[in-house]
Amino acid sequence: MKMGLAIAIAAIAVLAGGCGTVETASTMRTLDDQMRVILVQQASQDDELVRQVTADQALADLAARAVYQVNSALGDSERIALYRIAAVAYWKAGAAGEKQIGDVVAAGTAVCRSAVSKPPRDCAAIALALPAAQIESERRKLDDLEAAARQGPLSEDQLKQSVLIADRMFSATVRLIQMRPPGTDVAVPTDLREYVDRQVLLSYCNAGRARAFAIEKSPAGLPAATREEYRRVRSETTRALGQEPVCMERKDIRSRALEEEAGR
Amino acid sequence: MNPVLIVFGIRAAVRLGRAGAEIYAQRSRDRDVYLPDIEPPAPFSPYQLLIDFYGDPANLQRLKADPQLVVLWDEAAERPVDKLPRTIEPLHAALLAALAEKSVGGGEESRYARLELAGGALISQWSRAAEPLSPIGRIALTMADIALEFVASNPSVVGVGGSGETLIGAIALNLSGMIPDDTDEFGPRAQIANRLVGIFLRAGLSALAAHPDLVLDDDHAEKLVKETLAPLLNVMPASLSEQLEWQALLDALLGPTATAAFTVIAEKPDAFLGRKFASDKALGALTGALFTTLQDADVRRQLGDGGWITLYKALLQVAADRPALFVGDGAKPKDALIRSLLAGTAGTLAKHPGFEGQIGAELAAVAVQALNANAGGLLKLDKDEEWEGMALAMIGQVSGGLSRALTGGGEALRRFGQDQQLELGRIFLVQAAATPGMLGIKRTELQGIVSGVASAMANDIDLLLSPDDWLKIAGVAMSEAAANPGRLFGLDDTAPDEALAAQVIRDLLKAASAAWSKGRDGGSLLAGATLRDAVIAALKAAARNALAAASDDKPIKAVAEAINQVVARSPKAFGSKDWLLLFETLVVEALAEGKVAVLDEAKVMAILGKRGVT
Repeated sequence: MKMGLAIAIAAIAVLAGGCGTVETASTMRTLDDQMRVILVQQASQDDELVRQVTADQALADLAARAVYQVNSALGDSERIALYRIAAVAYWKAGAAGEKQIGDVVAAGTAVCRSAVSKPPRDCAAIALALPAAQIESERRKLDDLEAAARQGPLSEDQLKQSVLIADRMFSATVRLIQMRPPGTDVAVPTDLREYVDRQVLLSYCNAGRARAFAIEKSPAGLPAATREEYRRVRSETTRALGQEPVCMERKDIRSRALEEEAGR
Repeated sequence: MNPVLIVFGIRAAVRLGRAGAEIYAQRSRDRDVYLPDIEPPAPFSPYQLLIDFYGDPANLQRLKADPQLVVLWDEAAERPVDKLPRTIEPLHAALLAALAEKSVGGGEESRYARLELAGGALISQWSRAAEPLSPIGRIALTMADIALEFVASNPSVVGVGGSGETLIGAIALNLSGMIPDDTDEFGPRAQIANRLVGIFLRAGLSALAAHPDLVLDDDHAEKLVKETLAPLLNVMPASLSEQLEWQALLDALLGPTATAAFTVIAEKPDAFLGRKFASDKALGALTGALFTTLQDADVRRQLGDGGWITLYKALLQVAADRPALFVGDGAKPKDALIRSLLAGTAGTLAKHPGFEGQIGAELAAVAVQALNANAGGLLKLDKDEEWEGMALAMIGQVSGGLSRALTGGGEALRRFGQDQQLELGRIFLVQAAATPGMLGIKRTELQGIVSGVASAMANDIDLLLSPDDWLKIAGVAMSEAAANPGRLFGLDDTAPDEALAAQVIRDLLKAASAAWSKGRDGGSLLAGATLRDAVIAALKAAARNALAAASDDKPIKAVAEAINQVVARSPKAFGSKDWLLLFETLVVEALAEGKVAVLDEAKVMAILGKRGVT
């Protein structure tokens, strides 16, 4: 770097006063914008292999950049925002982010806990990133089992694994339910409440789908303990969402019901 | 300046800097961001839906109540008894009917289905009730903070109905206009606006405190804010790195700029705050163009830290006196003109070693002031010439001539302090501006005179004249040159060494040096004030009778040498006044008669006798 340029940069940094804050904020904006672009690309990519080598790795890299930037952040709010970006990016990075997400969520949660002003959205996103990542991780395992089931009967171990997958998903759903912001917290925006509830529903439906698969494939059904746990989670989910969780892909249950009735 | 104000200013600047950065950071972290959803499960088959739905004991009870359906369900295994359509279809229809009855998701697209399309959503950080203070609110708070602190040291300025209150009110009124609603632009623009407003306010309040007689009314204050601050925000660059540079520039320069502007306004309130509204626009055009030009680091370096403010002050005076020069037809600011003047000045000074930085900028300021004082006459003479071009020509000719002398080996000019160099430039510039026809973009007479004088100075090898002596000589040379075009100096800058004035001065210096080579014992009187006055007398005489003075006989030198010989023979009989009287008399006589009279004792006594022998 030329001497003149170095002096100019130093001078700007000194004169700007709070230049570090500005740079961190600017990086934060860039990372958020880039993450959104990658997530949209990821959602539109059907080929799992292509998705892993492009979007997943890009998200893991982006998360690493966010974590690196945390060191430059001057305030808790900036640190929390960067941890939110890192946590969400590692969550959506799939297998590429499985090793790192735990540490990032722990660090972000610790800052959220000690910060004087707790930004509700960012702290909520950090907290739910881990169970959300677990749900998607189990979902990938379930996809593998379903592929195996299409080839022939599942082995004993595979059947046990399918039950475990459902159990873990239900546990993650319970954790998500516990993360729902209290109704008395006036700082929480409505769209954040709705967002968290959607994640609860999605988590429940993933778990319900896994359980149905396990029951479908098990010759003798599931143990009684598993049944009780399912009922408890379903009940909690219903209470949290204010209505029975519906995992159907349809626009109008009533019209479908009428169609079924007419056809019978 | 009051030390309390200095401390106050520093604290305000630091506070504003932090607040500005914080606003940007706040907007960045609190803007709506996209949060993805957990990936939905693979579609449920009707069989799987039944397992999920009737796993709930409440739903199962409904099934048990229907004897036709209950036989289709294996309660122990928690699933239909088989996968045959005759089993699945009635159970599925019952499930749909139950859901429709409960109105779960009925009649509207379910949240679940919507999710699949979106894959996520833009989520806000805070509820409206808990949202942190907006940037405009922060700026308002910072302004109040500054004003409150100012009240402590200057209670009279920020009182009810005072000019300070008017100024704050005007800034507040224009805040929303300065910061757009566009969310993406809001951050950096608000940040810079915050800084800008704070620095401007502090400078304004300081100036008002220093000029308690200045009364701002609402209209004027609003115009002042609009015309000064808005152009600075409007030329804010787009990229972040440039914005940082721009912000640094504002931090460093806006304070002194605003203080200078307020001071000039305070000194000339009628010009800026009276009915000449064009002055307001001129002020804005000038300030905006100044900052745009100073974004160029080369220009900043060339004009120096204090140099640009000197030049800006000079231009403010022009704006006050002749706003039309800065505001074109239809009151549209002539930004390009101002920028070309500022950048041109820096470029011109860069070419002339010794005139970089403060001294060059001050010289340029003198040129602008001189031009301003005589602009009416000058511009009437040649309407095709733009005034800024003329100003640049003046700056270039004077700094160029003197720079060449400084670097060309002339020891006398190098003894000049910066103040004396500037004074020398002022002598040339002021006289030139006051002389009709001497200046013009294509005319180089001024440069010829400067170079001629500089060339003569270079011959003062023995340093017989002080810088102050030279300043007086330069003044007379310039004055005589102005009054007698083409006689003492050429009408262009070709061969300045051969100009009559340069020759006359050179000859006298040679005569003086020859006498002084013998030391004070040799009886020479031709040095210091005597030599200066002799040069002045010679220049005046030569201007009156240039042809005779330029003759090959070198009559002026001959007269000086003759007097030196007389003095050398009887050193105790003559003083400096005698020498000068003899010289003034004999030079006029020699030039009039075309020859040098024989200087015998009788002649000497005849001349000196008229006033008594020393």
